[in-house]
Amino acid sequence: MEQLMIYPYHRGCEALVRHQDMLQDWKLAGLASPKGWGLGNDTVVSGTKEYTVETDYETVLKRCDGVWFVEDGSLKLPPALLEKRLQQAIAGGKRIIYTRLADTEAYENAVRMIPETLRILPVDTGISDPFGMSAAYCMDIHTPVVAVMGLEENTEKLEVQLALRKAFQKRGYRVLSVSSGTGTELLGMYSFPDFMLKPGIGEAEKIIRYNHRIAALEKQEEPELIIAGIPGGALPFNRYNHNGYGMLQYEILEALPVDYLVLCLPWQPDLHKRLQEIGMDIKNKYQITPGAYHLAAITQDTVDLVSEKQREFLTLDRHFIRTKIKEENDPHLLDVTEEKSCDSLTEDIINCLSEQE
Amino acid sequence: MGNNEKKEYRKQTGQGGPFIHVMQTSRQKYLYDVNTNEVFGISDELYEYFKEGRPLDESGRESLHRLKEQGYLKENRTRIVEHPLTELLEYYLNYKMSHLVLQVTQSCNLRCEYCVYSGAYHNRGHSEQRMPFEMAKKGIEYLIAHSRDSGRIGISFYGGEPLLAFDLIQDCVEYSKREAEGRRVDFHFTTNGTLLTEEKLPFLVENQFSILISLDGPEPIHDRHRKFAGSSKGSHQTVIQNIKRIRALYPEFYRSNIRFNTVLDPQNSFADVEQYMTGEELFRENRLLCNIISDMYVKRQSVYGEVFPAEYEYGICSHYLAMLEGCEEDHRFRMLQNYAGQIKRIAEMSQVGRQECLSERGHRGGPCLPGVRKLFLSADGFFYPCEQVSESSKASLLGSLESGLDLEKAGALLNLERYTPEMCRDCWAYRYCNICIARADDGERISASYIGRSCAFMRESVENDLLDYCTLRDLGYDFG
Repeated sequence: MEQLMIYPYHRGCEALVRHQDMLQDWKLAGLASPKGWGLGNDTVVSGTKEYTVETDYETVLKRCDGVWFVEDGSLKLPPALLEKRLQQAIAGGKRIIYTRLADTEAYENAVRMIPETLRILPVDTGISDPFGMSAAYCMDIHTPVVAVMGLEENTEKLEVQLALRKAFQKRGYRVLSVSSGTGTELLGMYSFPDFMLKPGIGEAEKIIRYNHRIAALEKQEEPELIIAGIPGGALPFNRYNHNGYGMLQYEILEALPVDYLVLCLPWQPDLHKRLQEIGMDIKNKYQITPGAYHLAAITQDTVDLVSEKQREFLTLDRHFIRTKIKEENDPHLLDVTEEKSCDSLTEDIINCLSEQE
Repeated sequence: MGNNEKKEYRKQTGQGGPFIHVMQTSRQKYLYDVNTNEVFGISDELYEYFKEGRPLDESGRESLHRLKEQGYLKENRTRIVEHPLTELLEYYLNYKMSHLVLQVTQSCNLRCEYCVYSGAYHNRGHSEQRMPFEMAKKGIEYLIAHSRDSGRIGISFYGGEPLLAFDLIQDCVEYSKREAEGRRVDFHFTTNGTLLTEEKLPFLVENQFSILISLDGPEPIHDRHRKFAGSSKGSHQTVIQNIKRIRALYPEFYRSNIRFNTVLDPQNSFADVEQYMTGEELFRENRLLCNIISDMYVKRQSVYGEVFPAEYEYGICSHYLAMLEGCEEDHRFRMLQNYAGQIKRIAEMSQVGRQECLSERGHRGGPCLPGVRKLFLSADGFFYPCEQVSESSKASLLGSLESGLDLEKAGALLNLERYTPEMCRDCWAYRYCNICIARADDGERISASYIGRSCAFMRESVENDLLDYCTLRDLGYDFG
């Protein structure tokens, strides 16, 4: 197996590290982060192995065969530094997985820079639409669907998708996963279809095309369960931070008959009061009540909110989250990174889906 | 309900009565409801009822009843003093630091009489102390290691006169740029302007420094206080010469990166200062700030001249008129723009939406998150919340580079109300209080009586700001 490095590593990549055993054809060998991001010497645990985040890119590069250039988190990699790191990887003859699609200009530049022999780009699934757009309506989806949605961005949706996929596969289920991110083919999951984020395509067409994509994959793979990740944030926070008003979430929930919804959310004070309200808001907006809530290890930074109207978040740790979950004593609230909680969620999903049959 | 009635009510019920404050302008009476954080106009009758305890007639009683039905006049006070961010403080300190202030030197080439280092203040004096580069490096590393959740980070160079340690600043900037790979760092300093010589400019421009130049007005006024050390010569001519050079050589940088701060001596004419700063073509495109000579830790309070108060108030009033006309940034009294900052803060807090009531567990306004938005590193390696606090008192000390930041101490500074819980609980300015450690430090420790000394002035300020906010709002100003 070839050795892989992730760059630029940030908190949003933790799920990739924790579930690195799901990487296909690659073995994770290093995590590198720009020195100025302050993540050097952080440790991330994956099973019995512990990875340390390094800031010396060149040293990590030497021991790897490939570099996975991932999307940025809250801190953005300066273009000049990105180009420098790309060139270093190319000069070192490393295979390059480039899944930074948010900046299309930088993506096209990267495609031009990286020789074909070294280039592994986000995979075009090559799934043709057997129904075509002449069938301008949604097809039936016969397989049970579990959707993973975030109240906000950066609420560990990928972690939940990977954990559930692993848990169900362990129980012998054939799982089709269409993730909320990009480049997840490396983990055996289909990426979020890029046409859903493109302008110039009407909402109805997006709904139908997404439905057809899932239906085509269902036909091809004959899964027993579909796990669908939904990017973005489900509800507006306030006037200035509207999360896209939940339009993308609406489109996907129209395209897919979701049987069970896991909602990921940041911790907040008075969570016990808010949880019911959030559940009702989701039900009113999307006609589905969350079956479970994953509490992500972040919270809103309220200090900047009033003065600058913009949202930033504050990293918490698992100990804090698990203490809060224990205090809430709500069976629907959990930390999916905890194995027994993940098992409990899996069993709940199975029971729920069985009842529906 | 007048004060006597409130006392009686409290005695009988054990509760504090409606948590409100009534106030008035010449045109309108207002009620500020602390629990809902709303301020609105009321009738003269209701005003007299709340202020003096005058009995209400039937329509007055109906108005009172309506207010209660609408959720106003609640009696809730905070019972348990705990700042809501206390349980998150450790995470803020570890991940959300955003600004480091490096005291690169304590020496200065001027001897401004009102300067906090002049000897006229209890907490500081000039010295030759200079921060070693090794210490500055550790401070920079500390900032980077504790700022992963901050979008932007910045470093300010503080003095004395920081340009006396220009070589150290250069070394710090180069080191920051290397260590903060992948991150943008903003650089700032405040200067007396006398050392902004030509050979320094390329470096300052290349690194896009934000520079605040101290300029107290026209030459006679500026030179009254701001004199060169060991001389009676004023610094105005030197400063203006340097400013003109910057503008000639780097006009874009001058416009976007240079601001001016005017320290107002209340013995001078405000009109003379204002006319100069806003009338001179040299400052036409720059942001202007001003503040009255600091009274924190001062040995002797400033004396107000005869004309200053009226001229200053006139300036504020004119600035408000400019706001109403939509030309506040291009107006004669634009140096008073930061004065309106507190009113805009009231507006922002109002825009968050009506509150149900005060939480049972909470904390008054005032303290910042110590060591988070700003962390001051003194020339001898000690951490303080900011450059305003006393460096000679242990009260504000947050820790050191050697021992790190003291979480318990940071928690104590954050929960300052615990020193004065009885005093604060019934204070109507609870939400808008601005008393922090800088006003709580008696030179040795946090002092409840020191806090108490600032209360009356704080309440008066908050009332003025609330009334100004109401007046502008009622006249149609859009706070956005």
